[in-house]
Amino acid sequence: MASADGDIVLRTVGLSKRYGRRLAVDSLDIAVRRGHVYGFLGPNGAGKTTTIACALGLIAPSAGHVEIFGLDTRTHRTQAIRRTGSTLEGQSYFPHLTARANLRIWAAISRDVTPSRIEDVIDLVGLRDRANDKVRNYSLGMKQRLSLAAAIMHAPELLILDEPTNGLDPAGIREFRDLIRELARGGMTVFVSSHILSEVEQMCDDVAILKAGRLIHQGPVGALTSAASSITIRTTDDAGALKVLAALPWTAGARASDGAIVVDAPRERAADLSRALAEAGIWLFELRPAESSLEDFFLEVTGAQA
Amino acid sequence: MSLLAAELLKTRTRWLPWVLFVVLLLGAGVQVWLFGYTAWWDLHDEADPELRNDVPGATRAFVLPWALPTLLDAGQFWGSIIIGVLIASAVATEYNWGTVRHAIARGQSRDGWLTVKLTGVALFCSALLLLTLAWGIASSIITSNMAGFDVTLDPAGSVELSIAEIPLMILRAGVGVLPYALLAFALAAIGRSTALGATGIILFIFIEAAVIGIFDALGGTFEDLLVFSMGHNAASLLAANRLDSETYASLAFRENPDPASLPDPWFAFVMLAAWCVLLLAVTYYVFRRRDLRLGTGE
Repeated sequence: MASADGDIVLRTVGLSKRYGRRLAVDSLDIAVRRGHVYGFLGPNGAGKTTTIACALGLIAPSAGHVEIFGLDTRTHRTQAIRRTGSTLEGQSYFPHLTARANLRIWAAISRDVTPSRIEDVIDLVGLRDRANDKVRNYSLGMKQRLSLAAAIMHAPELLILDEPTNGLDPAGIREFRDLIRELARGGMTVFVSSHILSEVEQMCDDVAILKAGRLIHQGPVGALTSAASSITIRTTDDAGALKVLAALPWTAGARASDGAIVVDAPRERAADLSRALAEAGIWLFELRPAESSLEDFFLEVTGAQA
Repeated sequence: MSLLAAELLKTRTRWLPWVLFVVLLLGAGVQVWLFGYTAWWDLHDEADPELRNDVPGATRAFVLPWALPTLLDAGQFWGSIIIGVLIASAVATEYNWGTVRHAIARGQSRDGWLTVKLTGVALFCSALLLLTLAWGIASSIITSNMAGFDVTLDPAGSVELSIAEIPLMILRAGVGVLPYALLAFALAAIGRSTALGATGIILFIFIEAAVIGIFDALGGTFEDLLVFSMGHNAASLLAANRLDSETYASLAFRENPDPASLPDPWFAFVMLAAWCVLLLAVTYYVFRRRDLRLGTGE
């Protein structure tokens, strides 16, 4: 079954997976656009890995299905997956072999991967100096790099990464983030699951938030953070200002806080806010847009504790 | 690199196959040198006629041409165990390494993964078994010379073995190993555990040997049931390898196979093939439908 929308690279349609009595994924509908970096966010146990496993054909959905490049993976799994690269949570390498030998083995499955391409990805992920060492002697970060090299060496159009920065140090995370952005600039679509919010915020164009197997929110990262933004003001008359603000249709609320007023409104309304208060004879001596982070939004929608 | 070459690379670079290979070589050494030559040396000039009764059995354990079916008999029994352990490890370890999931996630089909794994391990195991047989034959030649026997396939006034028959004898013993190897393959692939596959095949072989002995002794319906057992039918193929009816000293944990009490070799071949088909069908069926999840040894 082909998707009508050619711009969508990965789509889940009513995807559900049940383990016994537990519903790990519940009627999930997500769509990943071509060339975007898509963050798949959720607390542990939210169903991220299960969704990825369904997409890659590792587990069978209880209901619904996954389309990759418009191909239904129930019937065209191999064609779809051959254009996809992935790293999976947990180890997936031969510890008794060198990184180069590991990549040669994965190249045998992917086909069309030349020896020079293997050398290229070894360079790309920064494993040149240790390529002939046995992988069992690698640090976790090096193993993650090896997984990424294996995932991209056949130049996939879609890259699916499950918790890829687990075990990386801050420098490694930054390098990894830069690499992902570089791959995306080259036209690769990237689907990355993570529970590290700042990482998703900095790396992704779109984000889906999952909680207990259900999709809580999906959309551009920028829209999510600006939707949750507020403006902090200090005025000559806080009581009067609160009355004026309550009457404005584009504020979601206003409250006094630490000698200031926090107005729930997008930053683009700062000028309107200033004008409305001035017309009421109330003067501002401080106005500070305070954009909420994705973390705030995530904690709010998932109900998790900070 | 082809998928098969990749599979062989994975297998030959592990230490376990080589440890098991050493065990096979030691087993062949024990068969020829200890059960054969040393036993013969202790008994051959023995005055006690009762003790001298064991001389032919010891002789057949190291002197060609009898040493060949004797080696194949012991090799089928212990080879089934060793190869079973090796196969169980080769399959289940990939679950633990997460490489099964990764291969499937790269687009390899599940049937393809099983087939390549099976083919690669079968080739590797065949090579190990043939090398072990070669070492056993070399030991036989050395010990025969040391004991003053002629090294020949057709000793005068006795049995005769042609070169052309040797591949057929090896094939018979190999077919006797196959269902056990596939049982270990099935246990490891379905159970996702080296321990289950390895322990399972060892227990199965020893328990089966004991049960065959008991059912044989009980007779009647029990004896009739043996026609379905792997061990009984494998023994039939090994009985077809025998050059005469004299007993021989073997490392195999069972009586010397007696053609008179065993099924026809062709029937045995069909029964063992049926076992192989059944085990393969179950393995492929389960593996195709299995969820490959993290945290379940996969």
